[in-house]
Amino acid sequence: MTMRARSLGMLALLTLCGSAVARAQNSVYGIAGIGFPGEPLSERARAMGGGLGAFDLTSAVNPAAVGDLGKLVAAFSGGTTFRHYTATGDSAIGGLRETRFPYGMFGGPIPGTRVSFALSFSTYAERTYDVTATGTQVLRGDTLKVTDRLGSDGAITDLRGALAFRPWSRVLVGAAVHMLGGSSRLDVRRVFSDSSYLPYVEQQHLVFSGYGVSGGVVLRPTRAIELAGTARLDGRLTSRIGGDSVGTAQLPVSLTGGLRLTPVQGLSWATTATHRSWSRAQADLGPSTQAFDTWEVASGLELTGRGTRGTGIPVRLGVRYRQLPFSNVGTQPTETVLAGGSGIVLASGRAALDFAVERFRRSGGGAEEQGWHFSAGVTVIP
Amino acid sequence: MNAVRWMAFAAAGAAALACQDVVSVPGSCPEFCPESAIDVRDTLLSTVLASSIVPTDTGYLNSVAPQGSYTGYVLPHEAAQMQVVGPGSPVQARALMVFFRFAGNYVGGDTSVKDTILQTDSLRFTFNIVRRNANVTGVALALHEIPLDTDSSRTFADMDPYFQDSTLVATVQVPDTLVQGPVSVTLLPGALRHFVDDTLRSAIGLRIISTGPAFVSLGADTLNQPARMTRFVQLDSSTGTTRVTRSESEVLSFKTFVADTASVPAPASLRVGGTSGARVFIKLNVPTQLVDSMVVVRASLLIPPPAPVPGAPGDTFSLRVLPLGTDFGPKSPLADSTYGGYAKVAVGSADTVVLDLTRAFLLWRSNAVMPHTVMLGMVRSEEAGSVDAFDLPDQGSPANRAILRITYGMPFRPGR
Repeated sequence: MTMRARSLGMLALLTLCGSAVARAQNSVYGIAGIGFPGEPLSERARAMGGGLGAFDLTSAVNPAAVGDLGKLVAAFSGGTTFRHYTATGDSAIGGLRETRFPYGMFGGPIPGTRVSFALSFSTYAERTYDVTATGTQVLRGDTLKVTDRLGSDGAITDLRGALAFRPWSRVLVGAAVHMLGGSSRLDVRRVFSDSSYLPYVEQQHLVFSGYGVSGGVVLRPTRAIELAGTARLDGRLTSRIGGDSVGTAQLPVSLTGGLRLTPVQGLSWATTATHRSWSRAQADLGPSTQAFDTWEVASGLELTGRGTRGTGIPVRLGVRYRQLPFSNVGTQPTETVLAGGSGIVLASGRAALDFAVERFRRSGGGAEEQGWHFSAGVTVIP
Repeated sequence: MNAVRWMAFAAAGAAALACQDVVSVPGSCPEFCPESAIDVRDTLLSTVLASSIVPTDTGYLNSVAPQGSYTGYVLPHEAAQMQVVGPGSPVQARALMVFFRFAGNYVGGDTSVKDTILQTDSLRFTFNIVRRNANVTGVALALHEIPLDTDSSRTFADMDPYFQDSTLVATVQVPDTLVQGPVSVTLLPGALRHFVDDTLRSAIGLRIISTGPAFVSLGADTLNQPARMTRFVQLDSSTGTTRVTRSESEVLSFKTFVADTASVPAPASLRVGGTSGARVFIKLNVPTQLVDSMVVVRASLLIPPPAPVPGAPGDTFSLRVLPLGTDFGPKSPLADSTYGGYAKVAVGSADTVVLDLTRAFLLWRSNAVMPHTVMLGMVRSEEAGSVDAFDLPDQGSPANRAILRITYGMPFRPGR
């Protein structure tokens, strides 16, 4: 690795490390249910709107894609979201930011075999919010004004271990196990208008655990056409406080299909569609939370110019539409994302720096949320 | 190369932005609020009808169980105040004060004069009133000369002979507008039989003269400015050519007050305060779950007095409640005063006294081994400094007993 690539990699890591300390704000749609679903996508796939997800060897969507790993690869990415939203009856809330580690992976071929492996971590569901609400409560015969603040900072993470191999030259097959973990710090407060009452303060550490398995296949009938399919079955998510279970939730079955066309060298169009049966969690949620099955369709284009030594700068564009799984009202919210990005190859192809910019709009349930997500990732081939 | 630099700057910019996340936003409930809610409840702990101080295997039958009343922490002659209560009250009290001896010569430290006293012109007594009933007018303090060997063993009856007309040396009129502040009286040296060249000391007893029940509380420690005696003398100037006047003061070598409590009925249960500065220890039988698992936001000890609060008519006092650090009887150490609560009590009132115990629950939650026992007493500055007292009700009486009122939040459970 050259000095330049090493310094850039360190700088990118510094960007990611410096961001995990502060309390943050995630989507207003992440307050209900188990949280806001994450996207296990690499920077390249993210810049293509997620359309490349089912085929991308550095994304954690399809374990079969790991079979394309011909060398050891490590990839990390992080991003910052700038967001504002308007909710029914309230004025617009702006200036919200969140910075997280959404994704990281390490993988490569297992020497002496036709099998490749990949270990990755990604955000399964984001559980970061901090909301303040006011109301009244009658205590000891007096009506008191109360101000509640409910904060959660954390996420459910998905640690995946995948194996894939190539039984035939045009077929990749893979399987993976998923360990769900992570935690969130809950900070719950109620302040009373009468100072005779001490504030109610509860700080708890909510720990998550769960398991899942997934399997997939990638077919390449011709050089211009690729097909992919993957299924993922997750079990129950358990939440614990201090070792005691405080609830479980049934997680969905996810079915994903993809089509990728490469009509000419340097031009690629990929589409991925996913269905998740989130409604299986309904029985485990409270009566005011509605869980919906979701569809997600993403499509993206990648144009790669011919540079010296194969280091041409690509242009990536994409769009994604998805339904969101949880709402406190009967209306299912949706999200539309327009994405773009690029990247550069460094150190004679031994490192790459990719970035993506996403413009998202979420709506439904009486609110509308818009914002930008800027992300960058480093891929290193040691 | 330019692209690399641009990306490096972008990464540095992102790092700078990463630490500026917004903290909290208004929630739009119920659509965009967490499903779980804070559940705050209020309860009274007075469920068991039983005799008061009968321990059982599991604790005390009542939620509030008095353990005992103890005295001796502060004695009247150590108190920060002393109270004089006049006739017409259920309790009468008189102050006794002995002043330090003046020196035979002038020790004022003034080098412009000689130290030989040529003549004592007058003596002035100054008393600092810290509290009195402002509704009573025409109050006067009568100064009587009492024995120089007066000590803490003297009782009201012992001292009664010294409060006759024959021992009266002066009276001080308390201005009707004065509630707090000094009053003074000036005497000729011959007015005091004890203040002669051999002794140069004085001992004064104070009683109240008033048309109605009245009291005066006097400062008795440094903080409350105790009484002082000032001597005005004539001296020669250092050159010996001019006669000048100077003054010097002495403070109290001993002070106390004595009360005639014979007419005060004995309490039905335990008594807090009074001239003995009694403290009562109370064991609270609080469910462990309430202390350990709930978030207590307010806790109050409600004590209905069994009869109008005894004491000096028109007086008020501050009752304090403080958890014990450990519980091994009368000498148990108290917890830090920040965990205590206070209540103002009016003499003669029959209103329920509400003492705040909220911070005591904070202490007990943070330290599981601490006993749930509290001390009830006068605030330190008033302890053993007045005739005021507070009686606890008999816990055997279901209609009139102390109870605990606790407002608490249930443990927060996400998704519930």
